[in-house]
Amino acid sequence: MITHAKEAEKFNKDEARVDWHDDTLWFVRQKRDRMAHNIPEWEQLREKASQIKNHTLSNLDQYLIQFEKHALANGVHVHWAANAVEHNQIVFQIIQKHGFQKIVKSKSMLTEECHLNEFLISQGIEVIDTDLGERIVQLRHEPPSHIVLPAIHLKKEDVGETFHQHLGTEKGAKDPQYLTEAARQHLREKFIAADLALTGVNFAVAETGGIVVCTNEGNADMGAHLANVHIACMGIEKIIPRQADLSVFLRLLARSATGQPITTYSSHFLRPAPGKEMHIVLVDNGRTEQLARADFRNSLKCIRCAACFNTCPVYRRSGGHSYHTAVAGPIGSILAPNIDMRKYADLPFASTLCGSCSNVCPVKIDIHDQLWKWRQILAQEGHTGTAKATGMKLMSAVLSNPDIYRFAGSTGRWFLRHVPSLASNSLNPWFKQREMPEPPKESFRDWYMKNRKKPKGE
Amino acid sequence: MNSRELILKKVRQNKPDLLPLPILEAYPQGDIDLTDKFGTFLKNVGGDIYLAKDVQEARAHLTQKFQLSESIKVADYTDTNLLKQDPHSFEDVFVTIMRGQWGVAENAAIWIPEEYLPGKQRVLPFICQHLVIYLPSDALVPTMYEAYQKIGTQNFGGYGVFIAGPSKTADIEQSLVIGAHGPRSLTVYLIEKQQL
Repeated sequence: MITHAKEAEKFNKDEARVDWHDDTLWFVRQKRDRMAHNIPEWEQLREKASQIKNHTLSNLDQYLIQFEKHALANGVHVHWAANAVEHNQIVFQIIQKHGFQKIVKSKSMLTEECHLNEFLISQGIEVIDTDLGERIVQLRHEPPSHIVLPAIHLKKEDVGETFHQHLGTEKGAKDPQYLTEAARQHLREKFIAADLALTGVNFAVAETGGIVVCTNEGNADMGAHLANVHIACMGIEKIIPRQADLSVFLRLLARSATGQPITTYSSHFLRPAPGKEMHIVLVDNGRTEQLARADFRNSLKCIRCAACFNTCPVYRRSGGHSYHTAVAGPIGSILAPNIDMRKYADLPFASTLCGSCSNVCPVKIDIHDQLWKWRQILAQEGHTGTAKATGMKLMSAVLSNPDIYRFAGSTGRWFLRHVPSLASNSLNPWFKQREMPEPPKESFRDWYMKNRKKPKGE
Repeated sequence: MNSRELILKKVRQNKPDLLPLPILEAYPQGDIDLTDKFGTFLKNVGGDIYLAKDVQEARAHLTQKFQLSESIKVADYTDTNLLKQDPHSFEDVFVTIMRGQWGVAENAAIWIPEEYLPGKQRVLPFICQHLVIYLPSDALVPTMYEAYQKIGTQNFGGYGVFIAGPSKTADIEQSLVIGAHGPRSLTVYLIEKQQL
């Protein structure tokens, strides 16, 4: 069984790369901070965004109906998919109806979640991811490791080698400018030749039936405006009530994601261009179940900015692939167990519960509380494994009896000082990629008893 | 039951009690110089900005800047022949020149409704090598809030876009590269006289 801890162990083998990964994402987090601190009303915007999303979830059926009605009036085809399989079938049927062969895609985490690429490719369709980071990982037959920075786990040398193999760039070339130019030329050909463009959706406006797609590269627009058919795929939680609500979300999204004041392009698609065809696929795939779980439903407020990834000490040092799910990081760790509790039982434990994720979340999802709540459910449902369960029982026995606690503490310190190999060995998972701390000579309690000011008369 | 009905039924069953929809509000930005702030942000996102007293002055300036000649393909918003063309024919457009409707000081985003696109061709601001936008100097607003108040929900056609700077990516080791798929540069002319 794949677990975060095992996968993280692979990532941790290259210590220099882990440090680089850690620093790079922290740098993005700092850019986010600078942007947020320059907006005096930042906290009010977060609160507003949170309230809009809470309201929307409480009235989601009505907004979905309203959105559909306006989209249909705009001449857009609307489809509903209960799950990933149905989503993939809907997309494939549209492609088949036209007899298309070539698809260009811009970034869509939903289609990653549904494994659309694999399905279409198995049906003989050429599917090209056009976001640069996504194209890089696609050429390497890897999933994205981050929802905003898909190739953040790679160094420019890796990209250079991949492009040398697939795009014929010079061997050993690693200049980002040169490599990006090569991708630009390669993908222009694909844009020009594509029959159909597939995009994700950042926001869908119930009031107008329009969708908004945000990119920096312009790839969603290059694809959608050149191809004859545009399919936009979205989870049902992407709905917002009013167009003006975008003012709140677009002020928060890019600042939280990459520390930009806004993405280069925020494209509002309302109607297909004359002679063209536009489809929107509304996907459930577990979202209505998450809506039923009072403790977890507000994870559906997520706008996929990845601020929680960039700030997470575990994500930064374990890499996105160790989460073995389309959406990694803290938010992915509360979304994934909803879809498959057994398969993703490890993820809520891939956290220190430090709470930094909740503090940076632009829509105020209580991410670390939900991670903690998932742990309890997973333990109750028997998904945590015997080692963890036994350990927890033992821990609770020790912590609930002061005498045993003091005895365990002093024996533990004695052993760590005199027989350190008891802790510093490969059987102890806490020892992996870590140095064990020097054990203190005495406990805080002993120190306090010795040093506290004695009250008069004692 | 089809998937539409199934999804709507589950949402109805599972949604929480109705919570209020908050009222949107403007946040006072203090005493800021909109032109100054817009210009600073535009440069930060990789754009160029010039002040021009009218369109003729802007056109003369950009002709020199991009060394335009007969052999260089330009898509201009005044050209009515663009309307009927196949978008693929714009593959070799070097410069697209168009108007912007509103500029947002807090992030240098410029709102382009469909009718402002040359020949209503949606691909033109993306497929060109360089993009030029004429923006009336009195079309600046402080934040996205005011921008959406101006835009409204009607009358922007079937498509509209905020553009903030040239196309860019940082997907290789977080190194910023200008000119990903779209324009390699964005030049904005703030036009003094309201004559657009």
